[in-house]
Amino acid sequence: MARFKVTAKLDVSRRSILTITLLAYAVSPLVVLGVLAAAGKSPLVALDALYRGTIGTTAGFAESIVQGTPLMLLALGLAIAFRGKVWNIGAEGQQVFGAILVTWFVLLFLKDPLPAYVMIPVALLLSFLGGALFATVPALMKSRLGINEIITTIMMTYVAVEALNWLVRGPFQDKTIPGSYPESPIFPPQTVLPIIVHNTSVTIGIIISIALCILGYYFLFKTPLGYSIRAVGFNPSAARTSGIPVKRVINSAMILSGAFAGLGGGVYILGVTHELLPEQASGIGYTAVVVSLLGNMHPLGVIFSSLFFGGLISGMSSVERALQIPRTLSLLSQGIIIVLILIIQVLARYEIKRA
Amino acid sequence: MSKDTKNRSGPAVVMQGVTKKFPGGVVANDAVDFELQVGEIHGLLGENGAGKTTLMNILYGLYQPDGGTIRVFGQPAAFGSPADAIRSGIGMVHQHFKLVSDMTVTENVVLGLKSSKGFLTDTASADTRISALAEQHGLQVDPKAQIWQLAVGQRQRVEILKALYRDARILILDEPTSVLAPSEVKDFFKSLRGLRESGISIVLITHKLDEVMDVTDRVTVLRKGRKVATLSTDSVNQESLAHMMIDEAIPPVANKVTAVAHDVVLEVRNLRVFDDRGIEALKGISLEVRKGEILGIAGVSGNGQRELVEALVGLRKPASGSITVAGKDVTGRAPRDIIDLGVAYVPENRTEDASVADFRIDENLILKDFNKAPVCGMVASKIPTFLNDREIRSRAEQAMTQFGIRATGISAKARSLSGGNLQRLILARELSGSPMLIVVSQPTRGLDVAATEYVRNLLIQQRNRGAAVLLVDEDLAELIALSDRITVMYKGEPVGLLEPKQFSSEEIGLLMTGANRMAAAA
Amino acid sequence: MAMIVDAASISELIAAIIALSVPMAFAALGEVISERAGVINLGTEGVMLVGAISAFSISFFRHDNLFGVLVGAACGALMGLLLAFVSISLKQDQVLSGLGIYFLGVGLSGFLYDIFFSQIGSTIRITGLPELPIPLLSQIPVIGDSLFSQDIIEYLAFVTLILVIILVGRTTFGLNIRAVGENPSAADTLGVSVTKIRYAAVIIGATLAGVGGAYLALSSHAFQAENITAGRGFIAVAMVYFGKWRPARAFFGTFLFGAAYLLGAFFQVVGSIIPYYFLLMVPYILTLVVLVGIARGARPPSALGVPYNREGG
Repeated sequence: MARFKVTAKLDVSRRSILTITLLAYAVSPLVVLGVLAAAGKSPLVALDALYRGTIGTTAGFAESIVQGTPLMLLALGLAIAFRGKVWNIGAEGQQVFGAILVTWFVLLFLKDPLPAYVMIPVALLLSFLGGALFATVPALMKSRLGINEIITTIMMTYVAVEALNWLVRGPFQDKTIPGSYPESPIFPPQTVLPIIVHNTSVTIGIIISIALCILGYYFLFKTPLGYSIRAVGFNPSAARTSGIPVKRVINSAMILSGAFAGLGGGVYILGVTHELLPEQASGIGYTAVVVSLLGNMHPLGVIFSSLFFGGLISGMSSVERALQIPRTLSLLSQGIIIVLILIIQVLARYEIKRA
Repeated sequence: MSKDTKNRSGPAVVMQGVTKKFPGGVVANDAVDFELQVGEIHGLLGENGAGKTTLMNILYGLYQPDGGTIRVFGQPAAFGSPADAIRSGIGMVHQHFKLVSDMTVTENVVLGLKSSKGFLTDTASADTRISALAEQHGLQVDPKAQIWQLAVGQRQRVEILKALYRDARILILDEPTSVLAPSEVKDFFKSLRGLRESGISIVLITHKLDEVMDVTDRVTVLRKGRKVATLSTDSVNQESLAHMMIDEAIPPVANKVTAVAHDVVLEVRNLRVFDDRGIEALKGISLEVRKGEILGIAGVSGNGQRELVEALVGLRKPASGSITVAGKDVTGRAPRDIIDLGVAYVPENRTEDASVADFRIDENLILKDFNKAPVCGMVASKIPTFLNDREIRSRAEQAMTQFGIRATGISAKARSLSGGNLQRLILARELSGSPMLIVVSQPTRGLDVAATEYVRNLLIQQRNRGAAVLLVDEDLAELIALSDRITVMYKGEPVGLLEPKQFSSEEIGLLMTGANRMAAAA
Repeated sequence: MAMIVDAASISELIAAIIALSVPMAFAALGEVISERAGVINLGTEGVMLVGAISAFSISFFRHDNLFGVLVGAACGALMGLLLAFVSISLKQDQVLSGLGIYFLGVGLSGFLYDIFFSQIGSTIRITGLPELPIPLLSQIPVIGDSLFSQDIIEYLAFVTLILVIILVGRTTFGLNIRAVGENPSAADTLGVSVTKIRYAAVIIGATLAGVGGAYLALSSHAFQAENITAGRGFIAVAMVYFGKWRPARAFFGTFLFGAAYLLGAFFQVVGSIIPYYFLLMVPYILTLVVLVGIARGARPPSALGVPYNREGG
């Protein structure tokens, strides 16, 4: 059996990272086509549907953006956390909590809403703070007690999801409609994110998200806190020796990423659903982990990877409709793509030689 | 498995022309010849970094040589891994024990071996055999004890038993006495002689001259990766060995201005510090370092130096006692506060504690002051805003020229730097800002000749400038060359404070092994 | 409302707790093995899902429950192999590769469910495993009916516990696993292949998780397309921390969790002021509380999560 040796490359060039990333992007649609072909469906029809669903038509392109926008915010937060080696797997719970807080606020003013230029910013701010608050528990458990944040953030997610389930069937439920549906009242027009592209559902959410990503880039690479997060992520020992307050940095990274996740939940509910539904827990928090990875955990990379994934989701719906196949196919493709990305990324960082 | 059928009349091991290079350009072994006779204790002598451990790691299959041949008991040997070496009858006891802390002695010894009971471990019969071996060779230890419960000397016995259990006929010991007390050393050598009587051939890697004289039959001296000589121990003495070992051409250090008694910068009083295992590593040490002087800390590593350094820079809280820097009490304060007072720290582990491998050179240089002016823009002189790229860049360029850092540019990752250049980077960062106290540990470990010379001169320059320097160094010659005064540490206490006239390798070496104690130990 | 507490209902309670916890217990045992060797498997949830769907399908189409469990185990092994490859050979970060397995598991199980069952529509139920009462012991009042009258997989769980305890503590393989997880360098110098041992540990761990997932499907009698596991895989990983990497503690930790799970169902039946969904939160909050409680003194295997690199040469 051949023996391989995997050694870290001394200096990974930006170019090789980009090449590998592009390779990963290119591989993904191929995976989808491959899975479909294996399921006996026509790849050509699939390819056409994929194209139309992503960039071929206005509707498709719009849908890609709509799907990608909340992903972008979540992935941005995760990029920051992961750079500090803080494994926030609970973005799902944080975004749900953000949406919950938004709902609470909107319902307060349901009868007599304030003007949009008040409602929307306050709501989004609440979602941001809500996500931050929700992430504080795992943050403190990690920095003070050394408890693995993967477990704690996952547990918090389930708590948030059950809270969501309770709220939509209880205090937040829309009692005015006949029957008992697990949903909140529809949000008033003053809370709807303004549409920026005619005849589509593309809202200013995308502008906000891209802007925040750009800010995120400056934060991570041009501010002291961002620098310390990266230092702690790479080498906590050296960071500590140089006087960096490691615990405080870990807290910041976790709480900040929770805040962005919360904001993503807020953007989703105000821009897409306009009511609180059980579907708010769509799994987007987990997908964002992969999106962040595909974006090389870089705020600017995340812009592209989230739009790409949004396109993937939109394209897959289009394929599903065209070929009459179930939704779970996207899930499968997603799973395969993720594993492939993980494998491909190794090629950039490591050299594999025969021993 | 009987090794007796092998060629007994020839040497146990013959290594010819063995060469080993490491990435970064370091030539650890340069065409070294080494021969081990059957039933001898052969000392492998040299300073830190001379290549002794590397050579034996090659013999043990941990490293693959870049050139040369090896024969073991007459058979050509190309060990791809330690398993191969073990099968050929070679056992190695490393300086840092390779023991699993919460497993028992027996479990550690039988690890990797087939059990007589198939799947199940056969601890009972292993216990018996281990006890028998221990008894036979004077290496008593309780097979049922867990490693963490054992003292260091006992752990070493376990390591040797590991080899003997596998019928090793060749035993390589890497700096075995570095962790032993003097009385333990005596017993240890007795065991070695016993092993020799049983026909086992032993390589003793050491940098201690007295040990070589005491217990070896022959000695090979390595210096900077090359073999200097192989001689019978009877034909040499400590002076001649020291001569061969030490690079005589210690480049004359830049003019040392004679030390005048200045103000005390660092004052340590009755410091007691516990190590990670809860054992008292520093038992009430007091010392002081003045402006413009280098205080050398001599001692075999593991006698409290690490804990002392960590307490000084805020990485470890002392149990009691005080540390004062320029009159300010810093006992138990965080590293940040100590750094802000003007204390620089050059740790012995460059890659782990002093640099971020995946950061660029310019990013590494701002590790201590990235949130202060001028590196960072400030609002109202208190609130940091954005990093000042231009300032960072110019600092990096300046540092590269001033400190001679050879790299592809300021954007080169620290990972790509050689040891010497990495040390220059670290020094550039630590020494900028003219620190008043510099704590430095093993500054030239693993560095090539040019870098070593550079670092030594740099330290002297800092001292001449008026900095107070605390230098912890295992390289005795270097310590003697650089220090104005030397404190020797043994088992967490100072056992001697020497003035320049008293500096001699023998004197210090004796103090280091606890053999003597100076009357006026500070 | 009076709560009727009698022999029968206590017995049912115990039986329900066991049935609920066994899937997690298997997964937790597997994860103990994997983590003792130094590799964390965050994708346990995904492995359980795949185990569940395969067992469910086999049970439905072939009416062979035990074969279903076998297939579930085999699928678990395959996923373990993939995880091992990515985290050990490719040295990809274990957190990320574990999550990759999770996503793969979610996708694969949902997809397979659709392929096999979407045409069939309406309620799809399978008959679960029969109870196998142990003579004499099952007559013991109160506990006899539950503890000694379980189905074969439940008995197997306890047997597996014993086997794992023996494996880790008394076999050479277990010795190797512990060494590789604590001080891989020590094992390496003695000729133990760190790679091989870790591969084996991960695959065994995932196999057990597959069995756990299989049993989950069989004992539920129905299959929810997504989320039949409801985080049980992740909880199993948490239980390993809770149990301080000891098989028995992790195992019984999951029972504690199963009991907490049951509180919700129990109170729903009985009727109570606390909203149902709040009670569903109990297991997760309990885990958090418990983690805080045992945080001090919990020491993971020293090499957990760290890919092994032999220096030099």
